[in-house]
Amino acid sequence: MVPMQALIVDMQYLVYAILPFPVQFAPLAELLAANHGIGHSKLETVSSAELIAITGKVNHQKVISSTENALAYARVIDELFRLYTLLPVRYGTVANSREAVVSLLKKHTHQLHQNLDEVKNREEFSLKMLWKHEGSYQYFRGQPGAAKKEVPIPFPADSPQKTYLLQKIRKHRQENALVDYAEQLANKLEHWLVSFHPTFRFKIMVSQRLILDATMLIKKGYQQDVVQAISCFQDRYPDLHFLLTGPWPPYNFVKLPNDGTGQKSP
Amino acid sequence: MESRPNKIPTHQDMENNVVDRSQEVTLHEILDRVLNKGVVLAGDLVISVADIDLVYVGVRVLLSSVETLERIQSDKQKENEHMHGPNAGINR
Repeated sequence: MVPMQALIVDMQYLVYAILPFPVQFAPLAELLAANHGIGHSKLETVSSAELIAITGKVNHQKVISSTENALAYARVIDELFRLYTLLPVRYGTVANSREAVVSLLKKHTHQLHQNLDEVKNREEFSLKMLWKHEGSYQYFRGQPGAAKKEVPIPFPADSPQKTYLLQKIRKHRQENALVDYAEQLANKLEHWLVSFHPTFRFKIMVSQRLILDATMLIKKGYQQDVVQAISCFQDRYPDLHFLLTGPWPPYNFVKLPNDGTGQKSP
Repeated sequence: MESRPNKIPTHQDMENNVVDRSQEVTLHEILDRVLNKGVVLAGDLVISVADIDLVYVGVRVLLSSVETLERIQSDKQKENEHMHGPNAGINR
């Protein structure tokens, strides 16, 4: 269970995803009829002149923040994503009328269209690289480069101060070596997958164990090839465990809001 | 618990190597995306977390992870303290 419960007050329309025009309405209507939203709510479209929001009604005071509801929310987006290019909307986004949804779509039409163009017919994959064993990163301890350069320390040999400083310097060098290694890994992965023309987002050294967290946006229909390519790439790194998931709707490539919280820099 | 169907169907040996189909990993990935990613549209929203009093988040229509909410509340508390002194925190 997600450890929280949330109440949405005085809200009517829960927004799941945003699609561009044109779409074929018959299959969309069929898809919406065959699925339901949170709390078995009926799914419906709310359209502006250029965009379509997929919505479902939610009741006042309704508790919506549970794992089950989050999964129901994700499932709606997933089903739509099988057929359409879309932008997933943040869980819990609600408006109190159809007009409010239309107004939000109109307000952000340009940005949403631009973003939709960027993710058009593309899907997201996530690749996490972790050290296989807790202490694997200790490999970097004692690397030739780590202890090569002497740093003058103005304390007597074997003094606590000198010992302390030497330990700090060694740790600093190890961390630098790890960051360098993670950056090299990211560059090599990018180069390795260049034939798929991916858009990448990288986070390095998320923790001591999680050395690289990559998300890739790749043209739809290449998942078998991506798996094969990453499987071959993994063979080069026996000390690393790879976790590949996908294909996902382009959650990590949404650009609204523009304050930087919606995307990560490579 | 639900799982995502048809995620990366591939050869068994490849799956064993790189594709993790465990429900735990997949669930974590789904929740991370649903709760923390996606378009954030401007609007109004009132939210409540567990037994914490309702907190007005303002112009953002979002409901996010506990970490995000805690950060928002922490920021609001700091802002409140800055404006009104250290004892003027958010009601809890």
